[in-house]
Amino acid sequence: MKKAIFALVVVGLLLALATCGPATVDPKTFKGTISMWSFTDEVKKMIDRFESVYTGVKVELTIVPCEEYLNKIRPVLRSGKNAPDIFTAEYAFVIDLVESGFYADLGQFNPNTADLVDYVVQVGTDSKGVLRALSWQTTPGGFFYRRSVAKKYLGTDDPEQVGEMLSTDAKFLDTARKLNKESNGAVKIIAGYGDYQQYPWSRRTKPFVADGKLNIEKPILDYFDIAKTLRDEHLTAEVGTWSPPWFENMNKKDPQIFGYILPTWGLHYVLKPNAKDTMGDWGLCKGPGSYFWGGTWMGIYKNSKNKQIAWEFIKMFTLDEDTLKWWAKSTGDFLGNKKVVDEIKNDFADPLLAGQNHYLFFAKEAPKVNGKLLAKYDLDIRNFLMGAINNYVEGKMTKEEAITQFKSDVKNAFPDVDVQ
Amino acid sequence: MKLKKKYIGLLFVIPFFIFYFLFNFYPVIYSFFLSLTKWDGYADPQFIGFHHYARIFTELFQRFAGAGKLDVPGEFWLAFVNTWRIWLPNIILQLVIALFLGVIFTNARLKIKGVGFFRAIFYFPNLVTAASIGVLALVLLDWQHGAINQLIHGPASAFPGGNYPPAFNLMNDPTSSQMVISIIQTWQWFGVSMILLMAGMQGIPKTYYEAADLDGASTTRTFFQITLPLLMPVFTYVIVTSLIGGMQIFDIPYVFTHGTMVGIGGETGKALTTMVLYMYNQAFGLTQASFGYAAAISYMLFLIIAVFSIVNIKFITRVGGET
Repeated sequence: MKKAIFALVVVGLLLALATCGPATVDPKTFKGTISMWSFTDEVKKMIDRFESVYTGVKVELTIVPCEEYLNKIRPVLRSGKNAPDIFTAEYAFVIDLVESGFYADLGQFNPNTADLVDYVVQVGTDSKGVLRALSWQTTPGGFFYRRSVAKKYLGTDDPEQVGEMLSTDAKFLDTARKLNKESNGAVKIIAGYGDYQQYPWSRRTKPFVADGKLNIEKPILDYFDIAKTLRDEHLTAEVGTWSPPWFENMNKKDPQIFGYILPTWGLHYVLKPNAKDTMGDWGLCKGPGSYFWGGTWMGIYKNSKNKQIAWEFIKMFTLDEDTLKWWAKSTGDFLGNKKVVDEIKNDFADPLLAGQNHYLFFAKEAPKVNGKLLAKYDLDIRNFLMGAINNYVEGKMTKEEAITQFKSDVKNAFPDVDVQ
Repeated sequence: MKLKKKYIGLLFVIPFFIFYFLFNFYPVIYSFFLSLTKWDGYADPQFIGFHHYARIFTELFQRFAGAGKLDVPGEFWLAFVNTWRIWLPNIILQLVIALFLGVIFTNARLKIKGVGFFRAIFYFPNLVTAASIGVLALVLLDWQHGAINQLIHGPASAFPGGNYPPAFNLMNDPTSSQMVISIIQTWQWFGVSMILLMAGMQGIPKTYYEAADLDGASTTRTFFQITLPLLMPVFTYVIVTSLIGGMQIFDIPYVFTHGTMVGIGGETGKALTTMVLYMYNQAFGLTQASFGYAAAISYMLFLIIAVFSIVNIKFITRVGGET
């Protein structure tokens, strides 16, 4: 009997100890249903995990395709009828949603964002400095190339050495010429000059529109010339990004396209499904610059009645280290939490990349990204620029004419922007 | 008892009016209200009066004054010209083909067999959705890998030694890309026009032809002096309906410009921006939406279609009346 009482006391003490420490609320005490809108089914996996921990909570997910997302969610957010508690935002329109005022102020939950990569927080913070959305990932990019081709024409497939050959615009063009010449025009460095755009975008120092004024910086003007050189000297395969041949080339044993300029998600969602026969023939190196492309943020609807539960969800997937570790291990996704990245970055070896550790590479690239470059108007303006560059490259206009045309496009679409 | 009957009648028309007001009348009025505002879809619409209309009309004059220059504002008027450049060749081609086939099929002397079969075959393209035709055409016309350029170039490059020009990118030239759409439109609609014209021809009383035959009129003369004048009302109908549809052409240009083949920027790249596509882009295409301006464009579109339809009806009935 005494033993039994002793045992009970010990167990009781242990339990008491276990529940002490930081005042965390038992996930099981949360009860209710929250709704969520997103444009990818990626979050389904998160929801499953969340529901298994927060057993009293049910998450209802609505998936709206990316192209329709903004047009569908705008009226819902405005009217408030059946508005989701949590909604995600993509790279292309995250700024608009963050600035729209429909996201609740996340500051009320006192999140500790110190461990997150700066740009993740920058992008999720509105112009008044209020934190509106957070992300679990960062999406720095690199240059994915074919090892066999590199060995054959460049003499090495080592990522460091190949990266060195591509480290500036001039070196990139030289390597492009070398590949073209050595292969008698059979191999081109990239699919098309459009693939190159990530570099000039990331070399800017200001967004395209800052303080209501249009900025056309030198890297953008240089891009006109690089694109022209690539086309005039036939240095690219002249294949459009996302076109069928663009994908087909990934699986070819004798590829026409040497490399793809893609970010973190490009490895898992673009290359892997399309490069089944070329597993292990890929390398990842740095191109002429650091950039980021894509990413998903999430925040809480300002009039949500379940803000606390919604926050538990966001907290779990952006700040909780164990959950993030699980996410990275099971998806290979690159995280936005520096602390977790540091802990796990040595544990990766990707079979597509012949065992190369992409995590280590991206961990070096992520802090170099300037999130302030992503701003209102950015994406539309990039489209106009690509159109103008196309006119110049195709020989329909001189560079000056194309730039004039570009400015006129911006003015036409956004009469409020000051175009000099 | 009489009163009650009146009410029963009302009861029957009420459903129509409810639907009409909810789904037709209200949106029409609401768009007009929107056209007087500035609205990005997030904050509340801001009332700015006739600003958007003023913009469209000033741009019309600026376009005239600065013709040929690059930095002239007024993309709406560029879209207007584009739409006409797509619609006009299409309606001309369509009518020529439809008339030609119609005459052959209805000709009493030729007595072609299997007219019903051909009529069905020629009507088929109209049953396919425009968007899928657009996708199909995009695949066929792909500059580097499309079947059409392969067909032209494949056999030629089989003979070595020749210095062949590179494949021509049809979609990268304003005129050729507009012509591509015109031709697709023609292909899609000539069957419909043909059926309408054939019905019109069969409606012409046989006695006229018998009289002409007796008087010794040639086939050509019969065609120009009997068939054509009596077909004028059908022509009016075909042209006006085609105009209303053609001014609102959207699907195929949308599919074409959504791919990577035609840039959004630049006048050459914008060759396929029709009025409705321009409106769509202002409202839903750009990340920064301008619903107010888009609504104003839709009202301008209404005005343009109304004006041209009236001109068309007046002109053709006058021509028809004189002969």
